[in-house]
This record gives sequence, structure tokens and C-alpha cells, in this order.
Amino acid sequence: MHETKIKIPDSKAIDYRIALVGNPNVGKSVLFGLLTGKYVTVSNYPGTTVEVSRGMYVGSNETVEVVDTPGANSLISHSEDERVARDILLRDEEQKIIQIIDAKNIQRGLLITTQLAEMGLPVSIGLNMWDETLDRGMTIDTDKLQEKLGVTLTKTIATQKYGINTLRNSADSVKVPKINIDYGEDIEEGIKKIEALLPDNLTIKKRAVAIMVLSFDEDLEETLKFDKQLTDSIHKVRDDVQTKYGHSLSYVIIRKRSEYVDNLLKGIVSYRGKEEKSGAIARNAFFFFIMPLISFFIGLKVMDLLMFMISNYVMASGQTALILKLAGGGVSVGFYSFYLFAREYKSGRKITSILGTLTMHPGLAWPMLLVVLWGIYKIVGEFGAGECVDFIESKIFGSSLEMSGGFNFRVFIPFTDIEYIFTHVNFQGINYYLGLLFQKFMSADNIIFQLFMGEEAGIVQVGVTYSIAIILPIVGFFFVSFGLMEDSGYLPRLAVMLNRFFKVIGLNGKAVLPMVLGLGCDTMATLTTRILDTRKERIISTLLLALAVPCSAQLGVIAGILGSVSGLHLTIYFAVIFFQMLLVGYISSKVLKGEGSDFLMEMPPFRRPKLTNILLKTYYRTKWFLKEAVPLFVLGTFILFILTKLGILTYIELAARPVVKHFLGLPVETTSGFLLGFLRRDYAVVSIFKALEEKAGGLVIDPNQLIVALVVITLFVPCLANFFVMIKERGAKTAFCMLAFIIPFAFLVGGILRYILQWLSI
Amino acid sequence: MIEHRIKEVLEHIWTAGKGRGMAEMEFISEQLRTEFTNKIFEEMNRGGLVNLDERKVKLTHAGGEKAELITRRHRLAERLIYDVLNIRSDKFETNTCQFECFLPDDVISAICTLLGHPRECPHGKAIPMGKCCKKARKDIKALIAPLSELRQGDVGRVVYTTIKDQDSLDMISGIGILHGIELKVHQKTPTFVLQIGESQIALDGDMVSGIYVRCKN
Repeated sequence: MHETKIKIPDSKAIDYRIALVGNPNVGKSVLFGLLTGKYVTVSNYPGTTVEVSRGMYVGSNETVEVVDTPGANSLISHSEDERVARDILLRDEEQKIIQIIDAKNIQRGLLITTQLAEMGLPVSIGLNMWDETLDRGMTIDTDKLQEKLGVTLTKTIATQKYGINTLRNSADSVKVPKINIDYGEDIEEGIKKIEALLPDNLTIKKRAVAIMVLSFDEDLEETLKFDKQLTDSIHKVRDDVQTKYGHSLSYVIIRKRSEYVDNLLKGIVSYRGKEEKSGAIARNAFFFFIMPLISFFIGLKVMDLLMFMISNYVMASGQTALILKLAGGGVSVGFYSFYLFAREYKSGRKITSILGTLTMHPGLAWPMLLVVLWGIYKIVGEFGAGECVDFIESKIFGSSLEMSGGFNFRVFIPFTDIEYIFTHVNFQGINYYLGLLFQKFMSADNIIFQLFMGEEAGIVQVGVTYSIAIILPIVGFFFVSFGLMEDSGYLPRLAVMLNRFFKVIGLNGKAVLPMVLGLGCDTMATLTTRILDTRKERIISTLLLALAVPCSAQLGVIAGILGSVSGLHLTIYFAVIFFQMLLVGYISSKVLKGEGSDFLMEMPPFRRPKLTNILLKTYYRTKWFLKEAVPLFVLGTFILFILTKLGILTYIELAARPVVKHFLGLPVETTSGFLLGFLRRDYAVVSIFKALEEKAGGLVIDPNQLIVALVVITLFVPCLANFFVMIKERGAKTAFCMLAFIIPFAFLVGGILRYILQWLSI
Repeated sequence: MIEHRIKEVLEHIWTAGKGRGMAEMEFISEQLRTEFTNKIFEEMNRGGLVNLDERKVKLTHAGGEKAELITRRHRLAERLIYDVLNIRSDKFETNTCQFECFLPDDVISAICTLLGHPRECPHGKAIPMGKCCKKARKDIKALIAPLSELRQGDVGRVVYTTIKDQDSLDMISGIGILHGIELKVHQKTPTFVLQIGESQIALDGDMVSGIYVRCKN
């Protein structure tokens, strides 16, 4: 998802190339899809395109290749995205540029146009999100601007496919924009001096390179392969010029550009006054019906969860509980309505922008967050990880030695007992049939049979089944809910909400992406830690993902088991895990060398997500995930197989027994469960639960033992696939160091927790 | 020359005494690194600025007032050079009376107001309050304040930044936070969010405390 590969395709067959350039989150990827007919993951979260996509132009006589570049606010590189975008423009190719500008942020877009003009690149501009611009009461005199810039401007609405053909045709009339900025005497003199020093074989104008050098773009010097002598002499010129200014030169240069753009836009951009209101019916429905209903539900649910948490202490009878819940709902309606009517009713803003503000409101956003998390848990943890996994694992895949017994094909009406069984499907599971096939050639004790179909560590029976039957449904459902959060614009708002918390653990709000993804699957989340700015942040987030973020496979099972014991125990579990995350994050942010980074993120407008985009995105992400993860699961199973067969596993088990028994106070039978955790984090939970249940006999399991066991298994080793990704992303040394920390730490926390629980006698 | 020295000594006594107006003579001599301090002390005594003890030097009422004024002018000047002119040079760090001694009182008040009545010089030493500061404390909001001191809903224009980190500076300028840009505080908690034109930008840390804006009322 976040590869930074630039493939250079066969250049003979191509007449020319078009590069799509623009600020982050202006819709380049959507337009790329429309121009080429190729799908790229489109998201309402800035910085999603790090991978460079290429595709062929649709409907043109010539062979044209289109390149989608990562969003950049400047073509001077500060981040990976900007460097990638800039380097594409520097390459020596027959190149035309289509610049995409978010029309409502035209100033920022034109800042990039000035840089393209300086580079001497031929440009055509697409003013995208034209509808949102009109909604906000903004008008842009495009004819006048077109005349001033001397390039073609096209109004587009990418999501409605408006203006696409015109934009496509505009590629035939690209021109270098008529922009000349005077940077002032001192800088201009510096530019001249540097121009004289530069070699002649550059692909873009020397002036542009000189300005980039003056802006302290040192990556550029690397890209253009300047030798040391040249670098030293241009640095000398740059540093000379810098002494004449109090501010950093790059800042002075951007200011000059910005002044130029502001002057250019005088008399071109105007406001009609108030932004467009939503229709009266929709508006009234929103204020008087939808929001009260939603806020009532929020209050009800929050109260419900609260009562669940302390259910052991407050023995509310059915009726009291109902009254309390209704009261919660009522209070919530009161708060939300008060806010909405006092602040928003008369302001006449659009519903989506009201929601945008509400979802990051200092007070009102928190209950909403709680309900969103609950909703995700219902979809992913209960439906995905529970019912779907059960069905696919036991009925579709089944076991190599036992018949699954088939299943009923039925329809039912939710919330009622009414159901209709069409037929009984007599399908005994893929693994069962494969097992039969193997048994034609060998006995079930044969080593080959064990390698593929063995119950303990067979590659098909365990590895493949695990990744497809268990991970696939969970990850699939998780991607759907994640897509909803991403496309609505909720995710960046979550970053705003949680920024302070992340600061404590040495990260910043940006880390919300990998951390939330981690609740889906830590393996995948570890891959996305690349989007973080500094090495230190990437290490901390990798460690925390491996240590403290339970993936949805595990979370589903844990919440199911503990929730049935008591809400209080589930709360203790979450509190302990959360506290560990805080503690380890805080300490590692102090211990690790390097720097964190400040948080700066643009909030995209709140939008209604498009179902087709979410489904498409889920499909592509799941496919990508399977490609990355299945081989790792297979490899992991293979290693486990070797360990079992050589008997190494038994020795490890023997060695671990004393710790499990005396320090954690758990029955020795649970030891093998912990070891299983390395392969299947959820299966480990189930196996430990079963061991405890057997030990307890007919009695109830000691809930404290259960919490200790579950906390240890959550903190304890990441699954094998996650560990491989850790090695791949952070290097073997770092990954093993993390493992060496995590294993003893998990047991230590478990032991301490055991004594605390005993002491408190909960 | 001696006049200049006296001003310097006054500031040192004021700083060392933390407002009490008393200091060890030896300590002051050490700070100034000259051997003629005794001569200066005597001169000051004659002028009615200080009373001399055996080892201590104590400011008179008149001396105290003068010392406070000099210190205030000097440290405000440092703030101005540091924040607005953005010059980081050792030359300005030690010497009293670069140019500020020659400015009339109302100009000093104007500078103080422009800077938002700062309480500390760039080296972290306290700046004595002037009349304008006391008044501002009561009723007027500082004309120029860092973003962190604005309230939700306040509108202002960016005047200058004190952000030192090159990457942060490039990030904010790239996203469009430049001198003269008008912005509105959309919310302050849990994270600072600014409304600039049609976009909302969330930011924190140095960027919030390092961007100074002139508030609109």
C-alpha cells in the first residue's frame, strides 16, 4: 500500500507522458482512475499515495502514459512524498503536466504552479472540487485567470466525472505558465551566481534548480548527483545570501511566491457571501429528527456500556437499568441539541461541515467516538470475527480428519425466531476432502501428511486455513469500517482528538492511522508505520503495535470470554493494556534517541462516503493483504512444524512451566497455549481458556486467573507474520531486541497483576 | 563612558537583588569583569542612586526607579531584536544601551504593546512591568499574541513567527501559514485547529506557541 517504487516502463512505445501533480488530498488519484481506467486506492486522508501509479490514457490516438504523484505542498522536498513527486518532474522524459488544484484552496495550488513555471514545464490546470467551491459561495473568474496565466483551466468535479473529457483534451494545449517572480535583489543575485555554477545537462531550467538550492533543498543535490566541489561552492553562495536575511531563505522565497499569487488573484476570486445552505427539508430533518435520534442512541449506548462496566457493583434491576439508560439518552439529547441550536442552527452551515466540527468537538466528540468504537467492535469483532469466522473455519475448511457435519442453508428475519431452512448442505469441509485425498496415498501418520494436513502445524490445515478462514473475514470487515472512517473524514478528526495522548507516548496524531489499523491487524499496521515522519516514531509505533495493540482476531475472542464473566473484568483488562501502552510508550520516548515531530495535518471536509469506493477499496486492500500475509503464515506454520517435529517445542514448554505456575499462578496446562500465541493470537486465547476450564472442572473459572492469562497473551509475542514484517520494516536487530523486551515484560506484568488482584481481592 | 557604566551597574544590581535593590559589591564587580567598579559605586553614591554598606550596595528610591527603567528598556529591545527582526547575534546579549536608551518613553511603550507586553527577555530574565503592561493586564488584550493565547473564535493576521526548526517552518509555510495570512481559531482543545480560508489545519507544539498574530476585534 505504501511502496515507493518507480517502475520505468518500456519507453519506446510511448509518445509522451503526463504527470498529475498537486497538493495533498485534491483528488489526483480519482482523476488518475478516470483518465486511465485504472483503480488506485482513493482516500479522504492526506498522504495515502506514496506509491507512484502509472497507467495508459484512455481514448487517445497517441500512446500516452499517465503518472500519479504523491500530494505535495511544495516541490522542495521535506518529506518522502514531496521528494518522490519532485523527482518525477526532474526526470528526462517527454513530459506534460496536468496540475490538479482544489479550487476552494486555489492560492495553495497556484504556489505549486509558480514552481512548475520556474522549472519551465508545460502545464494545464484542472480546478477540481468545483461543486464544493460553489457551495461555499466562492466564485473564480476562470477566463481572466486563464488569460493571466496563459494556460488552460478546466473546471472539474472528479467524483461526478464532470469535466473529465475537457481535462483530457487540455493535455494537447499545455503551455508554460506566464509567471515571473522577482525575489528581490539579494536573492536574484544569488540565483545568478548559482546558475553560473550549474552544469548544462539539467532537465529543468537552471533558475528553478538555483531557487531550490537557495531553499535548502539538499536532497536535490543528491538527486542531480552534484559533486562535492560544486556542492560546496553553491552552498557558499547560499549561505552568503542567507546572512542578509533574518528569516530562513526558504521562508522568504515562499513568502515572495505567496505575495505574487495573492496579487494574481486580486479581482479573480470573490465571495458571494454566505455559503450555500442545505435544503430546508434536509436541514429541519437533521436538526429536529436525525440528530436527536442519534444523540439519544449515543447517550443510551454510553450509559449501557458504563453500567456493563460496573455491573458487579450496582445490581440494577431490569427496570432501574432501563430508566437509567433512557435518562442517559435524554441527557445526551439535551447536550447535543443545546450545542446544535445555540451554535449551528442559525449559522446556516452545511450539515456535513457541522458534523465535521462536531466530530472533533472538545466535549461532544468523545461519546461519539465511544459509540463508533462499539459499532466497529459489533461489525468486526462479533459479526466478522465471531459468526463469519466460525462458519468459514469449521464448515467451509473444516478438519482433515473429521467431518464438519455440513450446514443448513436458511433465511431468517433478524431479531425474531422466524427462520426457514431451504436445504441441508452436505459439505464436509475442504480440508476433510483434501485429507481423504492424501490418505489415498499415505497414512495419517506419514510425515508428508503431517506437513500439509497435520492438526498441529500442517501448512494447509493450519497455515492456509488460518489466513483465509480467520484473517480474511476479520480483515475484510475491518477494512469496510476503516474505509467508512477514512472516506467520511473521521480518521483525521480522530487524529486531532488523540494527538495529546499520542504526544505522551512520543508519537503524534498522525500515528492514529497505524494504531487504528492495528486493531484490525498488527501485521498490516506495522507496514503502514512508514507514513510517520521520524525513525524514532516508527520504532515506537512498531513496538507498541507488537506489544499492546490486540488485533481484532484476538480482541473478538477476549471480549467475548471476559464480557461473559463480568464487565468489570473486561474493564480491568482494557485498563491494564492501556496503561502498559502508556508506560512503555512514555519510557521509550524518553530512552530512544532521535526526535519526535510536531503535528500538522490538514482536515479534509467531512463528506458522505461512497459505498462503491469503500467496497472497491476493501477489495484491493484485502487482495494486497493476502498477497503480503499468506506467504508469511505459511512460512510461520512450516517453522512451527519443524519445531514440533524436532521436539524443541516440548523443551521450551518445560522451561516455561515454572514461570507459568509459580509466578503467574496459572495451571501448567496453559503453557502450550502461550506458545501457540506465536502463531495464532486468538487460538492461544481459546486454548488457554479451555485449559482453565478443564482445570476448574465443573466449577467456575477463577476470573483473576483468566485476566492474568489474557493480559499476558495480549502483551506476549506478536504473531509470526507480524514478527516477519517487523524484521522487514525495522531490520532484524531491532525486531529481535523488541522481542527480547516483550517476552519477559509480558510475564512480569502478568505476575505483578496477579499479586495486585490478590491484594485488592477483587 | 562612566554614565554608560552606571547604567550597566544599575541593571546588574536590579537583577541580582531580584527587585529588592540590594547586592554584594564583590558579586557585581565579578559580573562586570572590571576593576573600576569601586570608583563607579562611589560616583553613583554621590549621584544619590545608591547607598554603600561595608560590602553591600543598596539602591535608593531614585536609583531603584532608574534601574527598573533601564532594565525594562534593555530587555524589551532584546525581545524586539530577537522576535521581530529575528537577529540572533551575541553582540546584543550583554551590552546595555544599544539604541534603546535614546528612545523616548512612548516609543518604548509602543514596542512593549507591539510585542504583547512580554514578561521575559530571550534569555529568560524577567522584564519589569511598565505602565502600559499594568493597564493592559486590566483591560486590553495584547495586540500581538502567540496563537496559544488566542481564544476560540478569535480572528487575527500572522505578523511573525519564532519557529526555529527549519522543517516546521517549511511545513507551515507550505500549507499556507505565512505573514499577513488571516486565520481564525476554530478550536483549542483537544488539539489546536485553525481555519484558514477554506481549509482547516490542525497543529500543535512549537507551531502554536511560535506563530504570532495581530488580533482583530
